[in-house]
Amino acid sequence: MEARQAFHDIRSQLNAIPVKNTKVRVEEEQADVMVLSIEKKYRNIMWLMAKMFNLRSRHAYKIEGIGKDLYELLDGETNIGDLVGILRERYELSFFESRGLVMEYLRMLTGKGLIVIAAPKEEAAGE
Amino acid sequence: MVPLDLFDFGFDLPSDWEIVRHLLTPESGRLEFCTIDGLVADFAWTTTRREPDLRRTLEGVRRKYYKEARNDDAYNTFAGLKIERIGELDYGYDRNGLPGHAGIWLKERNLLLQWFFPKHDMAFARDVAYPIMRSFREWKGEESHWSLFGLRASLPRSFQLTKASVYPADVTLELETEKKHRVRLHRWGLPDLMTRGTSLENFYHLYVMKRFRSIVKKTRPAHFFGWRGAELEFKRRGQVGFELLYGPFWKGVGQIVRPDTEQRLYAAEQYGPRKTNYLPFEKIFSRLVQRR
Repeated sequence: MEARQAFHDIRSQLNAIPVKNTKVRVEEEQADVMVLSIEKKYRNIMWLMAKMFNLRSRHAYKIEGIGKDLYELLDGETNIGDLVGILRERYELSFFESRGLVMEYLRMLTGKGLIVIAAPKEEAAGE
Repeated sequence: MVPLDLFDFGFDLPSDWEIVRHLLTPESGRLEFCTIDGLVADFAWTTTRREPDLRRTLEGVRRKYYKEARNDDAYNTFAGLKIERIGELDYGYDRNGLPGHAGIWLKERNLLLQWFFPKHDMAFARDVAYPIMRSFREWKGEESHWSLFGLRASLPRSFQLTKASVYPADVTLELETEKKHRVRLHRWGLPDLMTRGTSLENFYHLYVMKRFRSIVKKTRPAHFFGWRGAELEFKRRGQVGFELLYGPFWKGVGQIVRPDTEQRLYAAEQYGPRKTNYLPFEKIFSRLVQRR
């Protein structure tokens, strides 16, 4: 609960660092398209079904354009504020427009399990 | 400073202020302004039946604020606001570090406008609040101006705002007259990405066809203000009430322009019943050129 509240104010949100999931595999990479895949987890009876029917074991996601650019910038050091700044500068967006787009995109990547959002090192050490 | 114009009034605001929440109806509404540091101002308007006692209103709101913020010290010691007349507005404050509050009643529209600044001190008042108060303007001519969410447009006064949909880098305002002449204004960001792999004409054609669910008859390249653009003719079912599926077709025109000076796309679609006179695109977005 505390960790959730920590991201509620804008500055702490901007200091948070999106980190790539190490289990994500790059399946294909072209100039402006990238295909990522992540292990698919089946639960309970679905696990048995998956084994029996040889269901696919990985989920694939195709990211392109601005999404690919942002994903490539995630190096474990770049924080959300940096991404917002880059997008803002490159496309002449306002701060909240840029923040809205970045946050929405990161939320989507988090939901798919491709990234996690981490607290900055200093804050994590403080806790 | 950037303009904020809506309905028949306007202010000039600091350029880093952005609207993060809105409620836009002519009778009452609210805009919340934020910067990277958080909330900086709250602007609200509401219709009143008769002229309000402004001092009493401001003080009443202030008492309520202290009570809701559980600031017992301020609530118990509150003896009234110090009110100054700045431009045409009354600006009230209690003490430093507590909110500043301003208001004006527009007699012609029976509208009470109120500004709320979360933290007042004299430096803030001098540098931010007072210039905003002084920039207040009321549009009384034939034309009304709209400067909201980065979109700047001028329309005849008969147009009333009916809908605003605001997403990051995607703003749409819809206005209409009593005779159902409808105008949809757009401001999009990321033009390179939106038109990637296609032309501006094709992008706009597909937008009007798929997103605006209209039948596009003709699309052609055009130039507005010397910038590249496109225009199209379309028709769609005229809807006044529930006749969306069986109403007669209304003709419409749409125009889009990509200014060389900024990474944005501006577009306007107009449609209405027969004999509707469409407004020239250059007139609607005449303030785009002023921004150059």
